[in-house]
Amino acid sequence: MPPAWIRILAVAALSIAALVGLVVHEGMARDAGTEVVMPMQPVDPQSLLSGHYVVISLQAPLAPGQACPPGAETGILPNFDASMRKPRWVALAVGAGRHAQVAGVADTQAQARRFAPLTAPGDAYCVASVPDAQGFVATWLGVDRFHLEQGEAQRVADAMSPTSDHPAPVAAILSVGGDGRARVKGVIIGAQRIAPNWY
Amino acid sequence: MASYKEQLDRDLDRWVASGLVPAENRAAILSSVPGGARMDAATALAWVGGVLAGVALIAFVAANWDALPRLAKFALVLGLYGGSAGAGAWFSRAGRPNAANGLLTFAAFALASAIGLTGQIFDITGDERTALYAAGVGAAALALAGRSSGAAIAAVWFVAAADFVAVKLFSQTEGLDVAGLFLAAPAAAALAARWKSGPLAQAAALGVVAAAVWLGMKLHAPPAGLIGLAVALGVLAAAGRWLRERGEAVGGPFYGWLAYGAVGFYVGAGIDLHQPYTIAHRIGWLLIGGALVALGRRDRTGSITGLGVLSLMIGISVVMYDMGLGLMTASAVFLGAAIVAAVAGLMLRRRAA
Repeated sequence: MPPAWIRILAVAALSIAALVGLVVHEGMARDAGTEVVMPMQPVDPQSLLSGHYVVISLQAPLAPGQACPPGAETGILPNFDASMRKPRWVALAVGAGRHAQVAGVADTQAQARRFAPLTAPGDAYCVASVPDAQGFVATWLGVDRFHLEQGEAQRVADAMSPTSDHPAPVAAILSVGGDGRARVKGVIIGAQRIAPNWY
Repeated sequence: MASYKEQLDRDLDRWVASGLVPAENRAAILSSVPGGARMDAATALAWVGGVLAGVALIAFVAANWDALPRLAKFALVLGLYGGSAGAGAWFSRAGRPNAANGLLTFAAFALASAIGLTGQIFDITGDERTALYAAGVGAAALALAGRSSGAAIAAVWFVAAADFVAVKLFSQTEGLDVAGLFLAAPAAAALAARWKSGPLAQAAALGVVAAAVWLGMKLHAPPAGLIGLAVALGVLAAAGRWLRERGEAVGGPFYGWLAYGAVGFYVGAGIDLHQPYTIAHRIGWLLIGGALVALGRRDRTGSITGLGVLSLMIGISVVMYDMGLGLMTASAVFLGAAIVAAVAGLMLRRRAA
């Protein structure tokens, strides 16, 4: 058996190689995936312990007369508790400008592909429209935050705030890879795209 | 406080003066005792300077973190890990195991930080639980490679954190997962016995208790299940005691912590009990407390005696709280426990005689 110092160096080298490999693999998968844009709802974007980030809380209003996507969880009071999420598949219909909306939800990827070819693991909850209130679809695709520099995170927070002087619609730019996973590429505030290079 | 060598120096003066030790042997006896490693002022100042320089560097990096490109941040976190592991390897090669152990422990935490920060720097979506398990595996690899008890303790800690951080633990919708502690705690116990490491034995024993807690929470164990876990921990505590009596010091932490865990589970089992099981549980509680006091006195183990006393005090308080049972019933519980304790004491004395 080699001496301890060589074993230590080997473990360190392997660990570093594994982390570098993870970064390269994720970067390549993000670049190679299908890019979609999905609207977000405002959530407090900063955490002292976790740095500056935008919470990716995907939520899109239902158009007038639009029904809930088939297979989506429904109810008057949506319970989207993380611990209650089921491992399901969400089918995304991509329209103009890569804007995506939930086409349907199913228990398997094959079933979800009947709604639309682009699928990702996740779940969706829908509140149907009623005469006095517009319904919405809340979607979870396994991505929950996007880290930004402090200044940009603050700018996004200001734009998303209901009391903002210059409110702007905010959307997430996602990449759905060949492995079916969704990854965050950036955010769009109004017409500005914030998607930093991976390096 | 005077070192052993300084104390021996003074004692030798007395022993030589009183003729117990030949004067010519004084120097030989003193030289046979290694002097304690004492840090001189210059070395102490160098250490203080090193620590302050490290704090200054951390503050500087933190102040400019946002301005750093992603690759620079990544290189920094990898460099911290690689540097500490490399320094550990250097000290290991130089034959300084304590310094190597400390640096490898630091490297284990640096690797955990690197995993978390890499996810943040490059916005890599991942499961917090998987990241902590990965940190545990990395720490365990460092521990095995460098025979580092500190890194092994860190590994147990990371695995325990991964087991308990998962929100799925409390979900009714998920199936039965397996806690990593079921593997990590026994492995740490085996390493503690092999390396004769008391601190690692402490971590392993706590890991076993934590694994039992995880199982009880995961299964939403009913009182009978909690009693079963208490019995299992009690048996393992007895095994630890047996090991300690055979001269294996690492058995001590298992004896102590698992006894505490067993009593905790037994007490927990009594929360949701209904009559007539409550009375039996309370009698058992008082008897266990008394038995632990006797056992602790016999073994000259203060922690076990303390556990027994604590158990008795809380048990009596709970019985008093249970007065819904009625004063007569409470009186009967105390009387029954007292009789059993007296009979057991008499039997032990007769056996000793």
